[in-house]
Amino acid sequence: MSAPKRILIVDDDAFIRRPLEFILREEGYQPEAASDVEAAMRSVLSAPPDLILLDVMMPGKDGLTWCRELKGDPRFARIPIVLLSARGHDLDREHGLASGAAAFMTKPYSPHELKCRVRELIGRG
Amino acid sequence: MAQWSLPDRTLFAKVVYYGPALGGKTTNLRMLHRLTDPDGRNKLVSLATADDRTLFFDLLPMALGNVLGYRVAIKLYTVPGQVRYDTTRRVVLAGADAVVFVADSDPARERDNRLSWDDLRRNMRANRLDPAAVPVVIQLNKRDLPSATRREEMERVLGAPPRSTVEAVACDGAGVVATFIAACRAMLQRLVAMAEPATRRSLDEGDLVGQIDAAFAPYLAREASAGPDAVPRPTTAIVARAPDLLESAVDAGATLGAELADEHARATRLSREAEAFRQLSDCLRATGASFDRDAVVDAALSSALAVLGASGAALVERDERGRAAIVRCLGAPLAPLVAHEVSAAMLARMLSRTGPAAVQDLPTEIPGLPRDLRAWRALVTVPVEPRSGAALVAAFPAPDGEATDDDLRFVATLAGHLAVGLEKVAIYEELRAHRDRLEETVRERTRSLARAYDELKSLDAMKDRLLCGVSHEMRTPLTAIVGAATFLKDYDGDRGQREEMAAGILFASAALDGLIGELLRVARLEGGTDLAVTDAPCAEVVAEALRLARAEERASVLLDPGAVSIRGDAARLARALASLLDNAVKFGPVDAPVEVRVVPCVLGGPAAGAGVAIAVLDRGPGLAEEDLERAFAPFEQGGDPLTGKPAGLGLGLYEARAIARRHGGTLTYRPRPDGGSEFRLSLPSADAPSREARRA
Repeated sequence: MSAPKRILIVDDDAFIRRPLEFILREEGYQPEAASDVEAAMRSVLSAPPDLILLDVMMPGKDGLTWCRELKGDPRFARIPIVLLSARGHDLDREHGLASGAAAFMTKPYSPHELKCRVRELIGRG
Repeated sequence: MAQWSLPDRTLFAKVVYYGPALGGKTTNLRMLHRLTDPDGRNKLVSLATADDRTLFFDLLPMALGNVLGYRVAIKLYTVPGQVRYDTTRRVVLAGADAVVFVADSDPARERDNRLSWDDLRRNMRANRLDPAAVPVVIQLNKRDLPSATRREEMERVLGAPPRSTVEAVACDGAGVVATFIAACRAMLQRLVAMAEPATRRSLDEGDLVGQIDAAFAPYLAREASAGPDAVPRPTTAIVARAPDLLESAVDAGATLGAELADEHARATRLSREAEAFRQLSDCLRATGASFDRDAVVDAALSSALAVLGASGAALVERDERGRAAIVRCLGAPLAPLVAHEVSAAMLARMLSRTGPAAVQDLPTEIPGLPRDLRAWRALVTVPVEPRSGAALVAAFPAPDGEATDDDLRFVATLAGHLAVGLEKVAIYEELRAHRDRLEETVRERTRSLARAYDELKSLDAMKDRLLCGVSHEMRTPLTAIVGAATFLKDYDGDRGQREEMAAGILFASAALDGLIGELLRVARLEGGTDLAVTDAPCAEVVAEALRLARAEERASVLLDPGAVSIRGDAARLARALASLLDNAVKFGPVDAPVEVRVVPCVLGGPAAGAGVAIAVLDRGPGLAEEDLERAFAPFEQGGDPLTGKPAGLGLGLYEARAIARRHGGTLTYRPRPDGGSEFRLSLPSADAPSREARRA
């Protein structure tokens, strides 16, 4: 049995991060959390995850910019990124997908839906 | 016309023989000549053609003898019967005192009789001879013809009363004198009746008809004895036995000349009238075609100058003293008329009349006429608009200018046209002014609509920002709640996990509750709820604000002893300050302290006086220049709207500034020179009397 797939959750709000960590762990994945882009980058550099759940609006560097940077970096370009945003405008979705994200989900999302999307992208945990 | 000559007691009268050609008029005269003047003392002048047709007229002067003490001298004329000599007939008929109409009894001449009869009536009227007054005796000649039309029939055709005609056979002399007697009776009776009182008094008393009959008695006797042989041989061409022919011709020429002059005058008058009408119609057309007041007035004035003998024409108005003021003038300038006291007063008198007024001789009207008024002789004024006192004035040049009745009538008509034209212009100008006002109103309405539209657009943008902000702010706690609840429902987890999830739900719910509270506060703010004004100690306001913003640990407070308390609603002031603290904490670096400085200040504006300034200073990124205005608008937040992390609804600064303003204070921003922001609330000090207190 291979090692559990690693998922990096990046959100400045702990009350949003924590339920996702619990649920993904229950689903057999290995979640890791970061509260801003800086911490997330450290984590990616030390060990690239199989998938990143990335909040768009955060203090400091925003998720969209970091997503573009990762996609432009051949080392990490293949990591699927699911953007999570509280802003659901079509424009936001467009920007999100244009940045190279694999999926764009609007808060409040259903955790089950998110779980399904993750499974589509990287398979079961 | 008959003429009574009192000194030599003679009555001169004129009898004209009229009738169709070849009806026997000349025969009548010849026979009368023969019967009344057997000695040939008077001459029968006959202007005839070779075929014995009267060319011009026959003239027989005769003395009838005494009637009522007057010698009666009668001139007898015939007229040419042929149709083409109508003018001659009319001239000869002029001044006739009686007419003998010689009708032809030949049935073939019935139409000629009738035409000549109508011609006689027409020419009598043309000579102003009243057919009802001037006696006309009808002679039915040629009664000896076997086929002669019956007397009754002829009388009917000519419209004569039954048996009023005289039957004659002129070539035999029969009925000739009787006809003449009948004419003389009627004529003399009328002339006596019409005579002047002085003439009447000079007449002898007596039986007029009897005296006439007596005067004619010898001729009647002679007529009875005359036979066909008595008729003189017809004369041919211009008769040589008339020595006074030249005199007669000159008379006739003079009469004709006078007639011709009359005709010429009439033609001239008609052509002048035609010109006047043409000018009036031009004037009407011009006034109809133009809405320009000056053009309408000029059309009338130029018509006046073209038709009248006037050298200057003007439209004037009366001032409050009734004096004329020239509105517009064409031709010679009439200004001197208004300038001189004497002429101005005269003009004022003329203008005070409700109808046309004329002065015919200025030098007579105004003794010692000023030199520059001597160019004119006559003056006419006609009112145009009674209300405004507008009037037309025309001046006729010296030395012989004259304002005739025709001129007055023309100016009056012109004034009527002008009045209509000016009325039309006035209505047009009123309409145009109305239209201009309407257009201005429409423009103003359009401007205010555009303003209203801009306001709506700005409100709409605000609503968009609100929805966007509210939805974002609500989605975040909702996401936390949904996540935590999903875990609790679908997974067992351990006790620690379950407690953490429940805590998350409670926290997020509290955040939602805070949002709703914030929205309600703004709604109240916009609704203008009253402030609960008290003397709020600065220290308490600051402490409450720190508590609300949970900034007690991050903030350092500097309270100047000079700043004691604020005149205002303590809760609202704390809320405003809390918003500033909240921003400072959110945007400032975690390791840098947020400073609160409370110092005394001086307020300007509506609450001028002593104040308290509360400044909140942080070391955050500050507001970009372009975000300054936006930052204070409701539902706005600085930074990139796409990625910048919103922190709240964007109501904080808006609410804080609104609260400051409601207290008569201000909220200002300035960047700190060494980095960071300074937001400064300036509020009225409780030491200074409030606006309400001052008012009371």
